[in-house]
Amino acid sequence: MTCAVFTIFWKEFRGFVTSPLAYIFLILFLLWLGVNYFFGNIAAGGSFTGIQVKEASLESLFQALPSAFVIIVPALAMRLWPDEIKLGTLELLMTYPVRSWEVVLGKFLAGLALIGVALALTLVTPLTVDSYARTANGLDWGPVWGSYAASLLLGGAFLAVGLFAGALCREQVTAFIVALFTCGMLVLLGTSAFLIQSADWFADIARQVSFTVRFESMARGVLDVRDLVYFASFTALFLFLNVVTLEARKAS
Amino acid sequence: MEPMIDVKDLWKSYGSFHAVVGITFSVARGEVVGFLGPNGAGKSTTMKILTGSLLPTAGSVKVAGFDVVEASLEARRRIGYLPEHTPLYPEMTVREHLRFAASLRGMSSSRAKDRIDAVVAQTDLTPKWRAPIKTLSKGYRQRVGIAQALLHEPELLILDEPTVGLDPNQVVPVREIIRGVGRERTVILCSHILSEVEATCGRTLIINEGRIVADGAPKDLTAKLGVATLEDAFRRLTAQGGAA
Repeated sequence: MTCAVFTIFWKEFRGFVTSPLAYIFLILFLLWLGVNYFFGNIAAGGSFTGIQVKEASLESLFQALPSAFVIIVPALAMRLWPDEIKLGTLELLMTYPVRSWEVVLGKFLAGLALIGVALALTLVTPLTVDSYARTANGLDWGPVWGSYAASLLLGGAFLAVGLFAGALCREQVTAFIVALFTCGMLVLLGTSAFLIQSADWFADIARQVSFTVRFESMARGVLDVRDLVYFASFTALFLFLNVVTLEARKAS
Repeated sequence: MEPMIDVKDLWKSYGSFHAVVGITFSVARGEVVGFLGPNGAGKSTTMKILTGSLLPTAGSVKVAGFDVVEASLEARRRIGYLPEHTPLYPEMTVREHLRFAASLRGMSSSRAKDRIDAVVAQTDLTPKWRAPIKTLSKGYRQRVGIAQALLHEPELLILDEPTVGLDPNQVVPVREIIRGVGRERTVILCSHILSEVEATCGRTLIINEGRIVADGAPKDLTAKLGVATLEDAFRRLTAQGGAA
């Protein structure tokens, strides 16, 4: 990691932790997951104490995660470019001896770090489950870490989309809506409700393109290299488009 | 000796509109040049190309011998730039902003500390050292902009309208800084305030509709056109239809 990447990373990460908006999003994120988990388990187990009786599973925690990320991640990403463009600081930044990809990567990693913090805060749930489940078989941590890795990859992919939308749009709100719509489609396409209604050929494509099926299989602990490659190359593609947009801005 | 700036047949077009129409000029090391022109004449476009935030459509631009397209990073390392309207991060304090700039310039922490102390003293920012940029007056913001441009002791300093919007009390110190820097470095000063250019610059370039229409010492320009002040010369050269 070059010095410039770290400098941009630190600037953006500080920007997150010093803005009240980031905390609001973190709280909403945790509430959304918490509520979903609570009711998910009551529905499954019949009562709150059912958590320990039922298998010590975190499935419902991660089921709610894509829907939470669809809103939270574009909201976090939306300020990263439009602010710079509006204030004119992007122009100043581009006259410093830094490369476009260093700026893009710095911003991306700052967002990813914040997503990491959000995910780390949800560790309370598996830790609680583990402490309740200790008398039985305990919590199987393997799939849990798999779920967290999948969540980080999913968040990274959404973040890359959000960053790209921000580089294209001058307005935060427009960037948010574009990213929300794109990420929302990527999730919706793969939901079973959608797949059942679709023609077979379309369902096949949707299953491949969508994040949902891949995320769910990873969250179940099935680590398939193809899924990893898909998320990584999707993210890399959007970061690359982001760099291209910056370069094109100079040439315009 | 190799010129500090060497611009050859520079074009910048936006579709069918040509903002800069094949200009050629060079600036020697140590010169202080006033870059004048009406709004929309291509001044800021030329400065943006010099500093690497905009790419030329055609032509070659070299700063200290480095092509701004081919060796962009090398060229940018040698330039300190205050863009028009002084864009700064409002949430950062003066100290954070200068540290951010030093870090992007790849300075070691000891050099960064020395240089930040030096530019803060030079631009008289000590009282606002810990203040967030958003709380600063226009005059102080302008000084932060100049401080970040001077941070790495650039061979070439480019200031785009550094005294716009300042009251007379704020203008004087900024002008003092420019004059001080001009003694040892190459400076390009874009300005609308012609008296300021007359007072600080040894040479004037006047650009109109994307072309250079005059190049010379302010007093030579006025003598050549037979007018009393640089303002008259400016109006003669750039007014619509050429009539003053």
